[in-house]
Order: sequence, then C-alpha cells, then structure tokens
Amino acid sequence: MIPLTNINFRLTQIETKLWLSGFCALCLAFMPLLCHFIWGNHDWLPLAIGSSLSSGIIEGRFSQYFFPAILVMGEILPIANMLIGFLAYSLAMTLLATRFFLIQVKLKTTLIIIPVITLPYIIEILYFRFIVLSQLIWPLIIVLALLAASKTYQSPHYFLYTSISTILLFFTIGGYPAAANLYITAALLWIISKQQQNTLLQNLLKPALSFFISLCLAFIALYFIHIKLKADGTMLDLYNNHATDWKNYLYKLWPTIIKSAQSLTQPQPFFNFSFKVTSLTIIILGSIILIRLSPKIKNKLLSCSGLIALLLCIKFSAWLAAPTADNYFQLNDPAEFMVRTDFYALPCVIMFFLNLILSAPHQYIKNLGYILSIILLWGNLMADINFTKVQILGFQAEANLRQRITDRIQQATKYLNNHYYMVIQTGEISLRPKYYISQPNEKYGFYTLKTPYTRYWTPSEYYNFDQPSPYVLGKSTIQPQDITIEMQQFLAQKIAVWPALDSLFINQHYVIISLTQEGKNMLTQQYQKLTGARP
Amino acid sequence: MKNILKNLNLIPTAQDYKIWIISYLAINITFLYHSLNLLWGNHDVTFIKDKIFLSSGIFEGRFSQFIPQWLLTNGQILPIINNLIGFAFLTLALWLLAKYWKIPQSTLSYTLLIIFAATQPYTLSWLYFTFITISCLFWCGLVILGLYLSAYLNQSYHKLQLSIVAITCFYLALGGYPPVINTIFVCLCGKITISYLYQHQSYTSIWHQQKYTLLNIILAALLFKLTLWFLPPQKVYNLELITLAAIPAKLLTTLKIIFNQFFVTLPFMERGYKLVLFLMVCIAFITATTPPKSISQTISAIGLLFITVVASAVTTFIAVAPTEYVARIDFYGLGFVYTFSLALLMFCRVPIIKSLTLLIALILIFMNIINDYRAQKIWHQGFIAEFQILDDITERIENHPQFDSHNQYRFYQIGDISLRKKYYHDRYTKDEPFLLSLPYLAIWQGARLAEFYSPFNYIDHQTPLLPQDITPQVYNYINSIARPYPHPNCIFLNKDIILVIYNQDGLTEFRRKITKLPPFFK
Repeated sequence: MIPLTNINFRLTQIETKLWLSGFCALCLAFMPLLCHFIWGNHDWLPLAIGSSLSSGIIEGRFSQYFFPAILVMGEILPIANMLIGFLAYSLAMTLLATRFFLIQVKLKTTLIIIPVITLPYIIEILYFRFIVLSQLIWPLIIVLALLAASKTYQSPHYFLYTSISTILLFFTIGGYPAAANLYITAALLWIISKQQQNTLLQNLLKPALSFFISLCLAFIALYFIHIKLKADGTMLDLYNNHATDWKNYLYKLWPTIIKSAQSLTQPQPFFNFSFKVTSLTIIILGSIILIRLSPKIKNKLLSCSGLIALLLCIKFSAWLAAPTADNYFQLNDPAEFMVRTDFYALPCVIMFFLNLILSAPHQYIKNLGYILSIILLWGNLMADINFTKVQILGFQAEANLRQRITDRIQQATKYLNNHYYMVIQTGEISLRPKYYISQPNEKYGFYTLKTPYTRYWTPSEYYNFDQPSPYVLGKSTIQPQDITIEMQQFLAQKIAVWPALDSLFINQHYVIISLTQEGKNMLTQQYQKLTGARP
Repeated sequence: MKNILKNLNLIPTAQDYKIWIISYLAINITFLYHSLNLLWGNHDVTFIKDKIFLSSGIFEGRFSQFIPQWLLTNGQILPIINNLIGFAFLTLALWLLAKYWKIPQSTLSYTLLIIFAATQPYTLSWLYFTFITISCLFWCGLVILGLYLSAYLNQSYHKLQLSIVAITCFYLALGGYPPVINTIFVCLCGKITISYLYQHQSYTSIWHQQKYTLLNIILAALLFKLTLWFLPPQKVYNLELITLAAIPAKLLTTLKIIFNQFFVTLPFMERGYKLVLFLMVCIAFITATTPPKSISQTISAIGLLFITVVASAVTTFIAVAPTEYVARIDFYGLGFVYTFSLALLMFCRVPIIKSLTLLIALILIFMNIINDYRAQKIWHQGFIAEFQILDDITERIENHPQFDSHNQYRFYQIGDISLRKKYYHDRYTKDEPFLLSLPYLAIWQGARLAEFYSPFNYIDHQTPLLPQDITPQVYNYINSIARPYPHPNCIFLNKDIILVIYNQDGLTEFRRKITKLPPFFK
C-alpha cells in the first residue's frame, strides 16, 4: 500500500471549486431535462421494472449495470441518476485537467473546464436514461486509469500502477468499449505534450509502454470474456459487439483517419456550423502552437505525427468495430459520426488545445483563447438547452400520439377488456425533428434527434406502460395460421395509413396499426410474399 | 476602457458582485416555476417551434425589438435560459438605477430595492410572451444606462462619445418598445427629485447636469420618428398618437388615470396589496415633503413628486390605444414609481422611518413573491387545461372519417377558450389580458396550434377561409348543427375546410358574419 499513500486523494480547494462549478454548469445547461422526466426508446422496460446487474451481458457489456445497481438499485430515478452522473463527469474532467494534463489551476482553468464540461457531445448520453449513470461514470474511471498509468513516469512501482490502470480500463470497456477512446486520446495527448516539452524519450517510454500495455491487456481480456460469454450462450451476436478482422485494421486505418477529420467539420443536429468552426479553430490554433513551441525539428515532427495519430485515437472505437455496411444503425448512425463516442474523446482534445492557447506566450493569442472559450461556452449552452427543448416538445407530441392510438384501440367495438392482444405496429413516427430548426448540410443525429421514443418492435413496452391492466403481448409477429379472411381483406384491400379509420384492425388475437406509408408498404409486401408463396 | 468605466463609477466592487448574486438568485427563485415549466403565450406558437427573425418586429414599427434575442440565442426561444437572460438584464438595470439615484450604498438597501422592483407582479406580464421576454426586460437596462451616461456628460471629457452611446441606448429601446419612454421619464424625474430633496442641489445645478439628458432623449426620439418614416410600418393600433386637438380632453382623462392607477386592482394585485403599495407611496412622499424645509422647498418638492408620478403615464397620454391599467405598460411606469417611493424612504435618516422602510420593503417583497407564485400556478393550470382541450380537438379532427392527412385544409377557429380565469378566485376591478384572461388557444393561432403536436401538416397556412368555402352544407351546419366544444358537433370537416367551434359567442359572431355573404346557396 506504500505507493498509494504517495497519491494525494484529497482534492484541493480550487479543484473542489472547479468540480462544483462544472457540476453547476451542467445542471444549468440541462435544467429543463432534469425537471422534466423524459426517457428514451430503450428505457420503457427498465423504467417499469428496473435493470439487474447482469442486464448488459446480452451484448457483452458485463459491467454496464454495476454502478446503477450499487448506486440506485438498478432503477431509473428522476433527477438522481443525472445528478450523480454529472457529479462524476465534472470530477473526471477536473481531475483530467488538474492532475493528468497538469493545467495550472487559476481563472484559466475555469475557462477551460466549464466550456469543456458543457460540450454538447453529452446530449446523446442523456437520451437514454438507463445508462446515463454508468456512461457518465466511465470517464471518471478512465481518468483514474490514466492517472495510474502516468504515475509510472517517475515511480519505481511500475507493475502496480500498470495493473491498476489495466483493471480500471478493463472494467470500463466491459461496460462500454468506446470509452477506451478517452483513454487512448488522453494518453496520446499526454505523450505529445511531454515530448514537446523536450522530455527525454527514454523517460517517456515507461509511461507510454504502461498506457499501451494496459490498453492491450484490457482489450485482450475483453476479447476472451466475449468468447466465453458467447460460448455460454449468454451473449448474442449484435451489431455493436463485432470487432473487425485483424487483417482489416491496416486497411481501415486511413479511411478512419479521413472520416475522423470529416467528422470535425461535418455539421450534425445540435452541432451546427458555428460550433464546428469554433471547435475546429481551437484544435487548429492549438496544433499550430504545439508545433511552433516544439523546440527541435525532431519534436516538431513528432508533434505532427502525434496529431495525425490523434485523428485515429478520436475514432478508436470506430476503427475497432466492424459493422456491416448495410446495417440499419450504420446507415443512420455511422460509428465515425456517433456523438456518444465523440463524448469520450473530443472534450479531452478541446481541453488540451484550449489550454495550449491560453498558455501561449503571446497575450493576443491568449485573448483570442478567452474569446474562443466564451463563444464555445455560449454555443454549448444554446445547443444543450435547445436539445432539452426539442426533447420536451417531441416527447409530449409522441405521448399524445401514443395516447391517441391507445384510445382508438380501446374504443374499437371488438376490443375486449382483460384480454391480451398481439400488437403489430407498422412504421413509426418521430416527432422531435418537428421542433428542430436544421441547418443546411446537417447529417445523422440518429439518437440526438431522429429516432422516435417508441420503436415499432417493442409495442408491449410502451402500450402497456401506463394502462391500468396490460393488454399487449410481448411478441409482435403474425403467425400465418392466424390470418383470417377478415384479416386478409384488411391486409389486401382495406389497409390505410394512420389516422384513417382503416389504419387499425382488431380481432380476437391481433391489433394491427398501420402508422406510416412505409410501414403499410412493408406489411402489405410481406403479406403478398406470404400469399404468393402459399400453394 | 477601464479608465472610462472608472470615471463613470461603473467598475463593480466586491459589494456589487454580492448585490448582483443575491438579487439575481432571489429574482430567479421568485419566477422559478415559470422558468422550469416551458409555458408560452399565444404569440409564441410559431416562434417556439421555429425562430424569431431580426426583422420580425418591423411591421409594427419595432425595428430593434428582436436584436437582443437574435444576438444571444440566434432567435430561438429556449427554456430557462430565456428567463435567466431576461432577469440578468433586469438585475443589472435595477442595480444601475440604484446607482443613478444614488441611494444609500449598502448591500441591504440595494438588494431590497432591486428585489422589490423586479418581483412586482408587473414583471409577470413580460413572461407571458416568451418571444419578447429578453428584449423587453433588456430595454429597462438600456434606458437607465442612457440616463446614467447622460448624467455624467457635464463632467466628462468624452461628451460626444458618451452622448452617442446614450442616444443609441434610448433610440434602440424606443425602437424595441416605445412605452419604455415611461421608464425614461419616471427615472429622470426621480433623479431630479432626489437630487433636489436629498442631495440639496439647486435647480441651476440640476439643469446643468440634466440638460444633456433632455437633449439626448429628444434626439433619440427624433431619430426614432425618422426611422419610422424610413421604414413605414403597417398601420397598427399601437403606433397611433393623439392629435393636437385631442390633447386637452386626453389631459384630463390621463390625470384621472394617474390618480386611479394607485387603486385600480388587477389580477394578482388585489386591494390589500395595492393599499400597502399606496401606503408606502404616501409615507415616502410625506417624509420627503415634511419640514424642516421652507415653504418654497416644500412646494417644489410636491411639484417634483407630482411630475414624477405624472411621468408614469406618458404613454397613456400620447397613445390613442388605451394603455391605462395594463400591466406591461405599468411595468415601465407605475412599477418604477413604486420603486422610486421605496428609494425615497431609503434616504430618510429618521430611525423609525428606517425601520418602517425595512418592514414595508420586506412585507411588499413577500407579497410580490406570493402573488407571483399564485400567478405561475394559475398559468400552469390554465396552460395544461387549454392544451388538453387542444389535444382533444386535434384527436377529433384526425379521427374524423373524412380526414385525409395528405390534404391541405383551410382552417378556421370560431371563438376561443381561456381557462386561466377558471383557477383564479379573487376580485379585481380591471381585467388584465396578459396576466389572466388571454387564452393560450387564441382564435388567430388556431391553425398553428392544431398542428403543433400533430404528426401531420394538413393546414394551408397561406390561404384563409374563403367566402366560397361557405357552401350550403357549411351554412346549414353553422346555423343548425354546430355546437360549441365539447359537443360532438363542434367540428366540421369537408375536403376543403376544417371549422372548430370553441364557444357560443364565437359561433354567434360567425353566424352574423356569414349572413352578410351573398345568398349563393339559394
């Protein structure tokens, strides 16, 4: 235990102030969301029955529910989950700034911490309530892992610190593998800054190796855990737990770097053009300062290579992942443009470069840094609060629609009380975009804006949610033998799109709701295929 | 820059920061329920979904109305931040006013004055419409800054520069909301009165100090009129000024209004509250005019106090539209008269009056906060109730057998329903639309409201209901079948139009209107 006693676990007064300032800034930015209990489309069931410790194993995320289970008994609680998450996240960013990047603690640090903490990359994390707690705690665990690995720089206890770092990292990526983006990005930036300060390379080798060993060991351990879980049949092959083939890593290297650079300029919902310009200005200006301040040509070259490698590190998870090209999620929410993975890398990058600008030797550059910092903060607040407004209005609008559909079903003459139906909802209507003013060239934003609060494949979760007695069965497929003549007539001739009267069919076992034209087309096509295939 | 601010005594001290923080927190706590619940008025329906453009106010001559919103939030109405920004401006404005009037410099007196002024229920009237909350709270600060800078002109080396800034302040504020002229004159008259009564300045020295202020106000007003001339606004009710011939009659009416405004009760400002306010005004005026002073000084004091009160009705005097007893106008006038009265009391050095001032201020702040919270509760209840009706109406439209979500209907709402009143049980002498009676589901917003939460865009917003839409079938429906909400016959829908009947008055009025149409159906 002797080495651990050398670590100052106690926060300094200024660190505490920074932590609480960041926390308050987050609370302010998301106050409407704190006060309105809104949840995402994965949250219906966890909200009703809670989540168990093992809930994440199905997709290989064995530690995902550890913190929700021990802190809030696996429940989604209004305000509490987000507040605990905010506390952890602001502490993580404070420690990253003060202990890992060793940013001198003064007014400057506040101007770095608050804009970084309120960056809108967090919004996608806040969409899902069931993982908000763990997703916001992972940065803290990662920062602790980084601190442990960085201790090897001047400590004789190399093995101990590397082991601690590995365990913490393994535990985190076991909950959300993309959280490794923060680890690798921060580690690279740490090495870049150290070499730029002309630290002897042989001195840097030890911590660099420690970062590398921890990362490799953690991922190797995760790989074996996944193999074991798959062998046991507890983990399913899902779109988000595929790793690419070893031989593809080299092939994917350059495209990932290119897409990473593209993602820094590509406007996305809530990340408008001016936000992209501000953040990119900080990164470019910081990079120029980094290179200019590098004392020797060798250092300048190393800094340049480090900056290119940084583009890969930011999208490390996208580089590792192997989604199929026509996958629904890959089309709507490509890994290279996924906001929730950016959450684990870009705040750290902006923090690093903002610090470089504010520490520049020329006062005019510092002044520019202050201006950029304030512009960024204001832009963040506007984006965050706009996100909450769109959430509130979209949620209300979709709740009204859901109520309307429920009323229509329950007012149908054939509807029987205390009877279970299989509800087939074809198509879905997302209403958040109705309240968002999009700018030209914006792309993606699947969870931040586009996906509805109710997905068509889980009708039992939301139609039963606020009913006195449940009436929807968990399954939602039509069995061919259940197709009656009446249903045939409906599917072949009568079917119309909501809100037409003939958009709803109900018999003894089934309720069919044709919600959109696309949904209707899909259903009728499937029906035609089925009848065509019949003798 | 720092030197200029130092010369203007505008560099905040540690005490000032303390005053700001305490006052700002208190104001925000007072209106917290409104800030946390996204409520919006009937003008906001479009803006809350889309955004406000810089030019949105020009049609009614308010050319600068949306500059603050446009600069700060890119024209968006955002929950919480809208009020936070507005209250930040209001706090700064009132802090500057306290400095302008030079009330005794203490944290207690400053915070009491700021909190009292900001929490008066008149402020609520700027929260009903969220699209102008920021700007209308900003104008106060701008005109007080203009007055403050103008007051420093005679002792400054930067006369021209300061004059330009002051004129710009007045000009932008007038261009944003002309009734802010009440604030200009109440605060200026208040300053003159305080200078004469408590800073013992002579009329000559006051004239030397304030002549530039008058000049700046006049120049700003001329520029404002000139701008209106260049940007001819549409003929709207709120820009009409009285004619010279109408002045004598209006003068008498206005004097009566000036007296009555202390007693006319409004929603959330009932008799007891108004009497305490009036009591404060009386005590303040009595202490300000009582000996030891010469008779001429006393007469001057009474005259100055009278003029300050009269200044609260400048808009009422010059405007054709009735603006008396309207909370949003009183926010700029009467509200500042009350604030001025509290400031006068703060100058008094008699111990018993000092204690009484503290007591009155605390009582009034408490009453303000209670009244504000009552209003916020009632607004929220009314908002929910009216939007439930809207949801029911929308459901009936979308469930109508003939409804086609791909069609583009011409929509007409007949009558409206205002439900905030349903939750208010106290008596008042004058109704106040913004505080209570204005419906969220306004007639003229019916089309946008019907689509607000709907998944479909089925209304043709470009074309109003046309005379040819009143077919024999529609005529028959209106005259024989139609019944107001919640009757099943409150909705009519054919392939061209949707009619929604909210109340009997609206229906009667609509029946009267369509009888004037040509009898094409005969």
